[in-house]
Amino acid sequence: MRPWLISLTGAVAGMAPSAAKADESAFQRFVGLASADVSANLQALRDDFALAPSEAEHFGAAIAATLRDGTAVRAVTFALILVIVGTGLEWLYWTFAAAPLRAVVSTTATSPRQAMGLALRRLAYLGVGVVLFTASTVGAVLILPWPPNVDTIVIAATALVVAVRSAWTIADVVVSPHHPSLRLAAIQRYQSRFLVGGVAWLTMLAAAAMLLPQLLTALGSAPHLAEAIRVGMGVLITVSLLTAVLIASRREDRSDKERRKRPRFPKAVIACFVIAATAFLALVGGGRTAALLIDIAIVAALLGASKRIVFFFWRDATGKDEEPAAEAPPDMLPLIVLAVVRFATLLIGIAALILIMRVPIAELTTGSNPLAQFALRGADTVALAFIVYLGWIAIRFAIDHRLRQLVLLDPHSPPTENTRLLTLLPLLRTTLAIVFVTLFTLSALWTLGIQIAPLLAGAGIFGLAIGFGAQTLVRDVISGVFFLIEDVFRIGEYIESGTSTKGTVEHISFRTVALRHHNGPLTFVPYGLLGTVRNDSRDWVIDKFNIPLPLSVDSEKIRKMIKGIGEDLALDPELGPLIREPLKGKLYRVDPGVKIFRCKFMTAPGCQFDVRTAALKKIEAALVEASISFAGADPQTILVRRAPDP
Amino acid sequence: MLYSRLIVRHIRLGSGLFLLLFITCHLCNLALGLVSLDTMERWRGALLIPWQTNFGQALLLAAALIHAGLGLASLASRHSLAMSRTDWVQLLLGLATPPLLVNHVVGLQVMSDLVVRFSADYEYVLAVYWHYAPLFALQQLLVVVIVWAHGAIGLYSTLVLKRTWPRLAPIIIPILFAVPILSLLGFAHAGEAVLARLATDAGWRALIEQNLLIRQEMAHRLGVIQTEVFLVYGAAVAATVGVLVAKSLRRRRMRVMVSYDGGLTAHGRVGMSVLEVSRANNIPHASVCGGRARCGTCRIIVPADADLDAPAEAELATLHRVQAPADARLACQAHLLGRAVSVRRVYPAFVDAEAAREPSSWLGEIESNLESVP
Repeated sequence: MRPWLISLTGAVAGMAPSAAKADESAFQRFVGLASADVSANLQALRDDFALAPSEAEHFGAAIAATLRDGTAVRAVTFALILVIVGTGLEWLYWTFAAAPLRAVVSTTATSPRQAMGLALRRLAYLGVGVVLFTASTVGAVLILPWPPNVDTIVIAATALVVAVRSAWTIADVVVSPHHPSLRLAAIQRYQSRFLVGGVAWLTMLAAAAMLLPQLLTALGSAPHLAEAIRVGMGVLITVSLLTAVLIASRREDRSDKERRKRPRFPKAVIACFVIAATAFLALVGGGRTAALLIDIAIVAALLGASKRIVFFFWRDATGKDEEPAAEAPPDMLPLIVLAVVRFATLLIGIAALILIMRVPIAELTTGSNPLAQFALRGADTVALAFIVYLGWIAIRFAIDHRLRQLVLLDPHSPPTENTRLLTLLPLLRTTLAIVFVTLFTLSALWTLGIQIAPLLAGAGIFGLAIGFGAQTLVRDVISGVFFLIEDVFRIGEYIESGTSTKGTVEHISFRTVALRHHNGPLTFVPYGLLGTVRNDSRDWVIDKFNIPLPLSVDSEKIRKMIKGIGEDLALDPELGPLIREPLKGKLYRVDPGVKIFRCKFMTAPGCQFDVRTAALKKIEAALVEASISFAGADPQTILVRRAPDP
Repeated sequence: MLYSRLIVRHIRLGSGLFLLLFITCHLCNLALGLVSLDTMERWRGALLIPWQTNFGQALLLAAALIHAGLGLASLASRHSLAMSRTDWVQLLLGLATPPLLVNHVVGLQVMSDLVVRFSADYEYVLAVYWHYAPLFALQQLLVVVIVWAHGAIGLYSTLVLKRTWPRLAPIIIPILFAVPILSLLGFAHAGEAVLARLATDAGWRALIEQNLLIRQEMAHRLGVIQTEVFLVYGAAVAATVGVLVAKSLRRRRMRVMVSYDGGLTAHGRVGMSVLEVSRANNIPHASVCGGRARCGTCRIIVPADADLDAPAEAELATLHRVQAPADARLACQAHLLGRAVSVRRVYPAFVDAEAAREPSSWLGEIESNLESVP
């Protein structure tokens, strides 16, 4: 454990990993180095500010000299030509591109995703303008015969202008102050203007802080002045950032919506603390630590805001502005995008971290440092987890989406052709979850360098032992699989199994099927015990019933009457659609004192009872109308009275 | 009165074109520095001297005064500063020109008018700018670009509305680029030559320095003239700004609502034109000429009883030219009087100068457009 910790601290301190091998504790070395660094930095800072004025004086004198010998005039002349060429060509471009851009801007986006498309087009138009400006300016810089060193200044100035314009353009496209429907972020109008201005200002400061000192070092050999300017710019940037955070937080406090929420720790305080800490670190501890902090802070902020940012684009689909409620899961796409965005953010953050720390990647991957190997494997595992997660989201949402498209499941409604899907999809979802988790666990273990073969073998032996003890269980599960594959029953169907258990299938699990008897009790039958299954809910049923009538009735007339009733029923708006073959009846048997007519019809499964009731009702009514009574079961006594003798 | 506004516009345009012609000649002469200092000097007789005669100077002065005065007057007559980006650039470039140019004009032209023995030839001027007073050179270089940009934008926005523009463009646009670039290159090239000669030719140098001495003697008087010009100009600009501020302060509470097709509404103040209201509220509204009643693309359909001022001559002429129906108005000329108005835009916001050049080519589409509007 100890070497591992030491190498960790060594890596954090940005020292060579081999430091861990040294006798003394790397941590002590790190602390010593850091304190030495800090005092050295502070000393350098004092020197910079002490020497800067004299260097500035020298520099001023040099510039005055260039004014006298014509260099400055010449430089300005050429610079103005650059301005003419750059601006002029861009102006020419805009005489063609302004109208299409106006067409984009005057469109009202109906959804945030359309706004995204429009924003990309806008960015393209504006971007081509900036690129044209840059290309023509740089081209002209290369062509003109500049006085010595001036081209460096001009290129730096061009870079500054291009940086500010690019930042401005991107900020303007994203927050779109003048066209709320084209906005790509959920912010208010005043915020958007403030944001565009702030971004442009900060970019200018940052670019100047990078370019000016380099220029001074390269041209005037004024390293201390350069450093002083860099520090000054850094202070200015810090102050600007703090001001921006304070302004933004005050505006936010004022809105009523915020006030009604529960009190939370103000983000502005965290932001201010991070900014101040970064500035302090940059001042005393060198740039690398500060850059590290910035990187971590930005990644954390982005990760925190990623859900809001991504869901903004599906605002119309998931509800107005809040994140969707848990019981109504959102679409699949935003979640996948969210996952990708988070992963990409993290990845870029880590890449930046590696760049900042100047970690020797090639050395680490081929070397034998256990920590590095472990970290690489960890990264592999994370990537694997991400892919598995994406796949799981995709499958889960595909299944859920399909399920939601099908009718909501009511076990006692008449079965439709979707019931098989409704039966199988939830099972499939659970199965896939188990498969994914198992596969991921095994692959992750394998990636991390843990041998999984013994594990699998052990599991195999253990499984064998359990298998003997759980034969019925296995039988149940396997026969269940086959029942489902062969589509023997689905949820909502009425089945009778060989063991005289019957009922409507209400629930299907891995081992049992739950049958609701028509009297109410719910029977759980293991698949293994189902045996022969009689499914009463497939395709059609035929129902037959007898009508006993007196011998005196005309059989043909009755047959026609029943046929007529059958045709009537087939036209009935409620029962008609259920009837496959209409009611027919014919003389079936003649018994002493009774003619038995047998009636027959075919309906959808489960509907025969309703149809039969309706048919009997109509037959009875028709018989009453024709003054025919049913043949009684009792023998009829016919009294014949003789006429009295005369 | 109504008709005169059209004339004023033509005068402003004409004076501007006259000044642009002079500047073109001046810059072409400068561009000859690419050949040699002597060529520059030789061609000065043809390109520059005619303007420097008394008559030429009087014309130029009159044109400059008229152009600047009318420009400030039109700024003062505005009801809001909701202008297109081009107009803002034009305004700022125009305002910056006189103060930057004063010392060039006073130091050379006024000086040579006052003192006959002072010779303001190119050799002297270039020597002063390149060696003796390089800061002035920087100022004049800047003014070259500013004046040329102002003139080029003005020329372009006038010509682009003409039917002949597609044929003119391949000639005019290269000229608009070539003149300033070549003149700056000429200035640089001639400057090198002058610097070399200053270093080697002592006699010539003495001549230049003698000329400079004459200039030194007059420095106080020239300074006074310059200050006076600054004062007058400053007063004129201040008066203009004062008028603008007073107007907007007086009317800041007189808000008028304008409702557009598509359910958009916006608020303006009394006196603002409908186009200015659209601009101030970021409502997409076509306007190719920028609100000068020239192009007809900003036109709107208004109800007969809309509370807007009566159309002026320029507007009627444009409406007639583009064959607009009777209930059409130009949004840039229809000023709000006090009651809310409801308007319908005719052209989509993205039309370009083509729609102004060939109004008939758009008519069919507009008809169908009008029908499709609910």
